[in-house]
Amino acid sequence: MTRLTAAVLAGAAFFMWMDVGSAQQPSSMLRISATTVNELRSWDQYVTAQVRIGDLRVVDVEQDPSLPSRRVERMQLYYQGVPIFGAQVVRDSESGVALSIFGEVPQIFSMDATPDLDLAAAERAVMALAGPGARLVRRMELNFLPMAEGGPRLAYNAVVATSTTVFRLFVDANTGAELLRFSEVQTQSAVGTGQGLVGGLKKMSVRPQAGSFVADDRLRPPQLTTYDMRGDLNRTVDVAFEGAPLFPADLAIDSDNQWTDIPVVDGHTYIGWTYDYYFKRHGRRGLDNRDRPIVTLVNGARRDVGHLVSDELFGLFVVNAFWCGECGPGGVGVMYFGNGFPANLVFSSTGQNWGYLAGSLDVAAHELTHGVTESTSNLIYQGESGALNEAFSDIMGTAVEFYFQQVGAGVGQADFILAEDSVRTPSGVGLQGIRSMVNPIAFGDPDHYSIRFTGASDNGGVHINSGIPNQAFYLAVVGGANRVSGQTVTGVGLANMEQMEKVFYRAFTLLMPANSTFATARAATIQAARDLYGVTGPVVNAVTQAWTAVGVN
Amino acid sequence: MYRTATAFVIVLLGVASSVFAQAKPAQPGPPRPTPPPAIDRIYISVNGAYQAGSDNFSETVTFRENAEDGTFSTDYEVKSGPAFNISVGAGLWRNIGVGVGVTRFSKSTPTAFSASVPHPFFFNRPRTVDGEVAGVAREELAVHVQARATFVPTERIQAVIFAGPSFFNVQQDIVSDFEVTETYPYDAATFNRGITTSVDESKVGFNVGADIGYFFTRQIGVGGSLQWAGTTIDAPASAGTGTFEIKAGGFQAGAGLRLRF
Repeated sequence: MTRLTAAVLAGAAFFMWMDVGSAQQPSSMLRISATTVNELRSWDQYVTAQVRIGDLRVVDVEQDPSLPSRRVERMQLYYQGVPIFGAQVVRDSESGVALSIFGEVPQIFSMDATPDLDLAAAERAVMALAGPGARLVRRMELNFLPMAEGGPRLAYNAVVATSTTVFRLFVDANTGAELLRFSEVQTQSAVGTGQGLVGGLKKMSVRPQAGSFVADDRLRPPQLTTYDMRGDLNRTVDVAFEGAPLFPADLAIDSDNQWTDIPVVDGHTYIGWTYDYYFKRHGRRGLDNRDRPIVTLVNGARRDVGHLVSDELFGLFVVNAFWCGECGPGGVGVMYFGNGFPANLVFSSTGQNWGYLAGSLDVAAHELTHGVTESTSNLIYQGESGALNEAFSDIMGTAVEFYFQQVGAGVGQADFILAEDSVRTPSGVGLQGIRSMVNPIAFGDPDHYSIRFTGASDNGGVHINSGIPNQAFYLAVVGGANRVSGQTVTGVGLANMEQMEKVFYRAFTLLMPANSTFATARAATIQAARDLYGVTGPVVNAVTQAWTAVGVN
Repeated sequence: MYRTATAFVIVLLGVASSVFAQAKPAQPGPPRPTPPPAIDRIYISVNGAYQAGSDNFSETVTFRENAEDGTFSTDYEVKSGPAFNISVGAGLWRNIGVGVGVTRFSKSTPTAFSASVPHPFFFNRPRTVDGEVAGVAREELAVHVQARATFVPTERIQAVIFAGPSFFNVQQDIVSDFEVTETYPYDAATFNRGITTSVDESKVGFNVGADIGYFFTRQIGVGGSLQWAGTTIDAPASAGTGTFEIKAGGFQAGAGLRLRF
């Protein structure tokens, strides 16, 4: 502990001996930290005297709900009627007896509080410093600004907005020179790294919290949070379907910001990438175009016991990923990624193992696209409209892959196969993934309208008949012949895939009604192509030929 | 640089001897002894001067941001500019004396800045920002200790050549950080401003030069001077590790008041 001579504060002739501790502080500032009887006796007298003469002015009085008998006064320090920026004293008292006083106030200084520059001149100086297009957010205020060296300066305090940021700017009230500038955009974000299922190290947008980092993306416009359900399937079900609350402690967390939990890394990252794709490619702000928050749940069931989960939940929470716009606490909407089952087990029917669904970028984008559809065309999830709903998610899921990944057939590469990074044969031989847009029939899905599924299961074949519009999209991009009709399509080419993405996006989000049929989708996509790329030309030709090739007229 | 300075001294001495030879009056008749003009003990020169640009240097700093290394580079250019010089000389024996001079040079020059700023979402997709940092200041204060040789060819003309050590103090602003403006999706960033800190370093150098004055009265005159004074200073890098070189001083040409007592 150090015994220091305290200052005369703000022009008041008030000397005292004060034990202020050994903490470091700027030489021009005095730290008030009074908690003992002796300290409080002196400082309370001072505070009361300063309040009486108006150099300390109460700006806020709070009651602490946890300590109802306490009264916390926040006081602003003035000098010659001018507030000293940031110089506050906080007094906590009970029944009029001070229990603590804290403050950071300048040491003694003497200065004229009359500025040479009037408000208009100061505003001109601020605008000149702020640059073109800047505007004052509110009226400037005269302050004394404590400086690191040389004592306080008389300054105008301005909050300035530009098209890209908001910042606080202090200019010398006598010369107009800039004294201090700092951003008023208060973000608290961090960038970590994570190792996901495929694709090497990824960057993660997270938030520091109490010495650790949580999966809360503060860099993108919407709130993107990833919650780690830590294998508690019952609670996961409660949160997703019963609206049970999520708590801050449920946020996925990492101590060193080098994340290794695959579902957390990939789920959190790929949700962000999908948002990026929609923003950059289509100018869309998230699921509802109004930056709806996205709550992601991962690790609902541990992978090592995934095969032991009841049949009822296995298909939903183990070998599945889903977006549910009405699920979650308060119907906030929930994105869920299953973890699959142990790597040494396979489905006997396909010979495939299901791993972390979050590890497939196209799966994440597929599921979020359901959220986009829900807030746009809202294609009814049954029959042909349901198949179109599924197909649009596959198309956008694939488009996101091509946007971020290298084209190729390996893991972590962009192709026209769905979920191929997560659903694989252990040997790597045979079918990888769950659906193909190139050859839907390889997975038992129809690639021509003439062989469409007409049964009642799967909501009338929504995951089955999606093969038909999927094939149409593929042919419209890459070109080639349909297996059934043999008709050849001249696609726009992979290099121009963006054109077909925009055509399908416009049609599926804007032009199509909720109960669209395949024929409606054909007409809407052709119209979208005309709208975007002219009534004739390769884009219109490609999309027209593609639908014709798959038997949709 | 020292070779250049030495050559400069030789040239000065040659010029001085040539001037003094020409200044000898013709002797038509028998030689008549005349006393040489007296050398005053104190000689003061006050100059407004011009210092030729002496130093361009650059610094590249690696920094960590968004979980990836980025770099920023600053190209400093210390341009020519006005300086102020004052010196006082005192005779010790015959035409040999000592002197001390002070030179102050101050220049504020815009500095080119460029940076490669890592993307917050993706590896290997840095954003390039360019800009100019205004008001990067250099202040040099040099104290020159000089051995002097004084020549007084006529009553009105007095010349001095000098050389000796110089003690330099240099305050150089360096860009230690910067701000960019960036908004989602962060694919581009624009330079906002550079944040400078001042490096304050001192080192011994060398000075050499000549001064010539024309006196209207016994004690007051005008004159000009040429001098080179300089040194090389290792300044701490703004990144906190390593150093970079600052060359202080340079050639100065000045003119101003001359006093002698």
